[in-house]
Amino acid sequence: MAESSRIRLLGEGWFGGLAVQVALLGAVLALWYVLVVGFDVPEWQLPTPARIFGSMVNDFTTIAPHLLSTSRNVLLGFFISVALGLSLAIVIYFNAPVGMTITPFINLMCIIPLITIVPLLMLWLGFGNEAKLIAVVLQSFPIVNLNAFASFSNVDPLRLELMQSLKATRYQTMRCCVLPDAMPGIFTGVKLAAILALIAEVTSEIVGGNTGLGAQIIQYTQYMKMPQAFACVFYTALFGALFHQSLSFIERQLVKK
Amino acid sequence: MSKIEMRGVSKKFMARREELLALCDINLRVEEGEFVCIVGPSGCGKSTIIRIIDDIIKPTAGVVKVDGVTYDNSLPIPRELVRKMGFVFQTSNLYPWLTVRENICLPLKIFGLRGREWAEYADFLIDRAGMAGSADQYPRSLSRGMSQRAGVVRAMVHRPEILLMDEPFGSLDERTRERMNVELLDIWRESGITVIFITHNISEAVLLSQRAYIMAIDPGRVIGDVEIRLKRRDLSALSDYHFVEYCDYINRSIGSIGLEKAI
Ligand SMILES: Nc1ncnc2c1ncn2[C@@H]1O[C@H](COP(=O)(O)OP(=O)(O)OP(=O)(O)O)[C@@H](O)[C@H]1O
Ligand SMILES: [Mg+2]
Repeated sequence: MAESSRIRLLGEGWFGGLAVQVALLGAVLALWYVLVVGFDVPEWQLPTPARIFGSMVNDFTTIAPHLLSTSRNVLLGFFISVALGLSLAIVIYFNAPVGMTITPFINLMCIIPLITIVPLLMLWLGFGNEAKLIAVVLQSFPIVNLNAFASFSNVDPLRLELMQSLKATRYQTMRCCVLPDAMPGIFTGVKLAAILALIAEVTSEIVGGNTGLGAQIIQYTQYMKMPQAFACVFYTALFGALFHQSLSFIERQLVKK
Repeated sequence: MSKIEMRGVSKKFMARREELLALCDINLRVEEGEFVCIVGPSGCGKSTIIRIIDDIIKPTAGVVKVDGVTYDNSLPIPRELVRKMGFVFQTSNLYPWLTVRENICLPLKIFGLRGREWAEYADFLIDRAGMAGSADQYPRSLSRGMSQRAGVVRAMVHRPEILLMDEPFGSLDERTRERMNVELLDIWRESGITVIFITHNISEAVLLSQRAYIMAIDPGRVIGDVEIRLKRRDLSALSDYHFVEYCDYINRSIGSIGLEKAI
């Protein structure tokens, strides 16, 4: 009893964990501030956190459309990836020959950094959202597919035998047994896909075009507007963190074990 | 007409490119309302028999007949027979993401039995099994005995006529197992359900069944059956003279085969 309450004080539990994280973040920012001011680092090399936060507020109206464009592409690409990866996994699960044909290609897509073809995509499709969206989907759907299929295949055979005993249809088996059993594994893939989607989107923006946070970072650095460039970096990080947290929240609702 | 009949059933498994004859020419009959046990050493194919009856796996040869309707390797089991059977697994096999009640009602969902009376019947069974207090918990919080109870209730929730039980109480401690045995006998007497009960525990088989099929291994086959007539089927039977004799007989039947093999 005493043991467990002591452990909880050290940051177990939601609130404790959050408090520790906020304290740590505060410490890092404080150190940053002290170092920049102490060593007199020029602003074009590294601005203070205060200047960056200032820019996040003051330049918000300029940055907002880009934040919107980035998050729109990431979320849209992410949802397409999850839908595509998951439905493909279901098709493969029920159709072994199809699986044997396409799984090697999907594996390959997981290994190759698809960012390398972004310049080609932009050559073909221009600098608009289409090229970026395709890059995001190509980069993130394979990981969803791979994790989902692996967890489908790892479903406890005894649990499937119950479905077999009741002569459940394919749909019922999927709904009542395979999907819930595979849910933790599916979420591993989904959360990785969220990270990859953001990376793919921002990188594509850096490669070409002038919309999105990635493109803004490039432009601001070219004009030596470092607080603004860092503000964009911070907004990207903030979006990524929020995205990940929301997925973790959904995961906690769906995975009951 | 027998309730369940197996004729010439055999089953080969492919294990590491080698053929394994798990069952060889199995013939057995179970009458309506009968309580039959299948006893035999580990690995003799008891689970395989009961899984073939439930059509979880297909036999290599031979036919199964339930209520006069046949199914085999190529002939699929008719829909109406599926609903006549309930299967209890060796482990409780509850889904951890469903509550105990949701687990128990899963067959109703699969069979599309949505009416009020089905839900009420489920509640009645849950109550009867003394599980009303834990019905809304998740299975991980249940003891083994309670999980196994839930497994039995799940197999009965759609009012099957046949209960197929694969060593359901094998993993329980002696006392819990005895209590479950007595309760099972009560249920059987009340409902008139036909039961095939698998066990490797000879005294459990003698206590429960009206007839016991005795199996041997290599290849898995039935070497005989004993009709068991006890005056009373409850825990007091355990010290009955006849009870001990039956156990001894089955023990010797299994043992003699073992010896034969050794020579
Ligand atoms: N899917 C399978 N693939 C290959 N071999 C199998 C398979 N299922 C069972 N066997 C083999 O068939 C034989 C009979 O197995 P079965 O599970 O029916 O025995 P059992 O009498 O129920 O044993 P236990 O008392 O240990 O439960 C065993 O040798 C087993 O290894
Ligand atoms: Mg078995």
